[in-house]
Amino acid sequence: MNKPWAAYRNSRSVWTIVISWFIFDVCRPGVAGKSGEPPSGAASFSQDQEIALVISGNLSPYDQALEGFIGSWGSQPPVLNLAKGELTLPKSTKVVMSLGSKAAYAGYSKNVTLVYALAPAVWLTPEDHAGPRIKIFLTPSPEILVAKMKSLQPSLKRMGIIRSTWIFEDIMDQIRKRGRELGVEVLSTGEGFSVDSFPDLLRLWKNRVQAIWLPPDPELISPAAWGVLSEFCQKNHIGLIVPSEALVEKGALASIAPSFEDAGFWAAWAAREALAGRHHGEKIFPQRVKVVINLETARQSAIEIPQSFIDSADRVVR
Amino acid sequence: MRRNAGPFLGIAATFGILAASAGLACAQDDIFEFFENEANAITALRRAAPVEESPVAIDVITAREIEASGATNLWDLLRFKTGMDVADGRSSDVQRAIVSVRGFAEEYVISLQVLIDGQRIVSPYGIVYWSLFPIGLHDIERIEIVRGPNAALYGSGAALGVINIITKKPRAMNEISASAIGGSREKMMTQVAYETVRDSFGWRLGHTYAADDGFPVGSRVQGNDFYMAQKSHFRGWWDRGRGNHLELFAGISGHVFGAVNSANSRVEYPAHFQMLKYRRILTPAASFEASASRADSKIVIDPYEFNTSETQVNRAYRYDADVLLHYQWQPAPMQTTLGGSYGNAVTHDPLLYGNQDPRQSNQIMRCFLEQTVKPGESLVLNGGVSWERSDTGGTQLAYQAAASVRPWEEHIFRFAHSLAPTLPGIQTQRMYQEIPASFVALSGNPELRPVKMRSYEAGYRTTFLSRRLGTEANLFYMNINDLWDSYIQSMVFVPVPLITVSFQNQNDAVARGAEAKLDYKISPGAKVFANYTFERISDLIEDVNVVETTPKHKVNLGGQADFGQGFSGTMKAGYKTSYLSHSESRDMNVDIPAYWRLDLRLAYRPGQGWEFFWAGQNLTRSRHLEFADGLEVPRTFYGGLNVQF
Repeated sequence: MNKPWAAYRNSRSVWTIVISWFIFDVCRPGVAGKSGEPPSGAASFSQDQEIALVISGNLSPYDQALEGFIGSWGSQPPVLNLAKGELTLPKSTKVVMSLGSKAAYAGYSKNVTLVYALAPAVWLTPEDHAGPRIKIFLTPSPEILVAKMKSLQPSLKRMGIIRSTWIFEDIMDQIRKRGRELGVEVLSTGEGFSVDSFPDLLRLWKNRVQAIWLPPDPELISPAAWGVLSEFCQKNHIGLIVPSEALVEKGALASIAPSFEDAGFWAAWAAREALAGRHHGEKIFPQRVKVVINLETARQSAIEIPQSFIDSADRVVR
Repeated sequence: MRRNAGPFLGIAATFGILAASAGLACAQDDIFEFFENEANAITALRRAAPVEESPVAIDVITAREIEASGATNLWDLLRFKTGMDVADGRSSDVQRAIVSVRGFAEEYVISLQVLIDGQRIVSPYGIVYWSLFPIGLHDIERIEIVRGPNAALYGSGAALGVINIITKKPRAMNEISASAIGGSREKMMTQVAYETVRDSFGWRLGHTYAADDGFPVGSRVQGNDFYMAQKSHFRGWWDRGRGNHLELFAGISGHVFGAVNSANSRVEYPAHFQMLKYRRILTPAASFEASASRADSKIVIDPYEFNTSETQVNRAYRYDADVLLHYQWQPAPMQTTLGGSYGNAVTHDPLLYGNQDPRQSNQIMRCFLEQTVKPGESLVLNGGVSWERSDTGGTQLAYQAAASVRPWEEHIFRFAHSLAPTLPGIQTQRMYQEIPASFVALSGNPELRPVKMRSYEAGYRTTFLSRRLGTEANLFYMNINDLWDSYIQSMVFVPVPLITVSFQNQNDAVARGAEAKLDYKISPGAKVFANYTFERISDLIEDVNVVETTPKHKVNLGGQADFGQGFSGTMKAGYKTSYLSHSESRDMNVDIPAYWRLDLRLAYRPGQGWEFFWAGQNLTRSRHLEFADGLEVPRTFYGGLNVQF
């Protein structure tokens, strides 16, 4: 009989684990806030800098959020870009505003208050970040969302929500509650729903819902899935409500959501409050909601939008 | 071996159609790039990623896959998955399928743990009866197939793997779903379910009726195979607020089978179960879960093979209680799970235990600890240890140690080592039964020790093309000690000739294998898959029933596609090389030639909530053998309607 222990002891696999971990985890540039090391000059920090911005990469949504942050903060704090390998923070850092999931998960000292935005499907736990955590949502408060949707489509009796993650569960409960108050039944997909099931879901909801709300769920927003969803809604006279103005330009009926700029604005507000020692909970829904309507889509979908709602919209795509 | 090009052409054609329906990637702008980056980052970084950070190999079957599969039996869902050994077959009692993971595809697989919503459904005899589950396919939300030993978490009997079946939790405010199927061999199945949800509670009730004419009887056996089942399943929850959650699971079922040992025999199997589960979130870092369950069944065999003039009634029931505590350490990236359980499995069989008490039981107590540590962004360490005390196995220790390394994003290497015992069943230790007119007696061995399986495995997972193409490869090596085998304990000739056959731990075996799988998502609604499994088993005493009963090579491929205009299709094909099939209940060995199996399902949805479908199984040949029971698996066709409103 073979003795597997001998093979196991002689195996190089154990050393492969150790060496791989050493190379890719220990030797790579660390996060100073985590390791407690002093900054190594990646960004132009002063040693008493209390706030830092960490972004996940180079995309226009991050730029827009940065503009909002600077507009609220009044000046531009040092920005670390993970795409450039900039990861070191001064010891004096008390608040980090992160943009994107990579930046949210980068790992910071427990003494840091982490304000994370533009990470719509992330909900950090104490295991992810032991210090205070504040999430800036990319969705409006559930009360505002349902009220706006009802104003957009006064005949709305039943709406569907397509989501794949439990992150939106809490919001869902509040949407259902507000929906009941306004006479709107809310249908929803469950956790684990994938774009593979789009065709079946849409057939099921055809003639059954008057509007679909697509939350900022990264698993479900892709070019291929978008084509299926927007075409279906237009053909079946269903109002497609999306979380981004850019998607309205691509054929959605409307977006009812804070802009990326608003998310940055409210992140700056939360950071300022945290530095002042005031905490307003782990969830912040930006109070300002931008409403953008696509009248061409409304015409093609044969959806009549009240003139008063058009007049009050922040932007109308014709 | 007869060469048959049909299956290859069919498979190639189906792949061609699937590929033709694929959408090509289109140019992306910033908004899509932003969400795509987020999706990729979450997949790579998030903590709660059970499949990726799991110390063992896992496959998941979703409700959508179940619906699109065309399967009418639970084991049909497992058949085309990596590492699975599935065969249609009939034992002399109620077993109608052979299901195993990573080899050892025996008639009575005892090292595979099967759970429904966490409740053990292995019978007190230590056997899983696949056709007797008290749930219909429409009740299932998800199936998780864990390949490899996992006894540290799930206890003894999980040496080959674990199959977790999770039923649908009610989510809709008011929803009725129904389906009806009719087909060849008088196949008939109806399923209906209603679910409702209110603010703080919800419930779902499902019922399944199924019947078919069974498999054709070949020249080697007597029999009258048929099947009829009624199953009802209930799941309800009550959210009491402030982190308190209560759930009730219950089911009742009745089955009637033809038995293959006699032209007139029939087996009735009434059963019911209940489980109450309570979950409380203690703090943001800690949660507590407790459950109590009961399962009770009878087997009524009329007439009984060993007592030809009378009806035999056996009863088996078990009580289980489990507690679990999850804790996330702060600020250290560690997670601890602490659990304990008590179970009492009882069998009542008037003939099986000779002059002993017909009621025999096995009490099992267990506690376990599982610890996950994340010392760095790219390394996850997992360890578990379980202590178990039982009447049939004494004190047993099980453990598991695993490391998951992610040196680059989307590239995950996994290494695991574990020890898992499988306890002797009550009958293999305590039975005494003289078989009429055969001069043979079967006698249990109270000294029989548990089988111990030590496993070493390494795996690699990665994705390409924006996660549309996923690949996985695993190598495993299992060392199995103290395998049981029957032997002649004694021979006497006076006053009457009698040969006594008993069991003893007399064999060791080594199983080696490799698994590879590939999934490609072509577009929303269209995907293809392929997997390959190699398994080779050697042993100490060259027992053909150990080393030759596992096919060396298995290949599965298939896909599903949405053709537009409401039409969709699913194709699955599987190939096994030849193997020896051994029937314990019939004491028969049969060489099974290599075979292809092709299942197909086409569906049309004319409108909301309606679907017409047509499906065919075993389309490559009119009949073929999969098991040594003398029955032949026929080509079958069926069609039906699904309704949801």
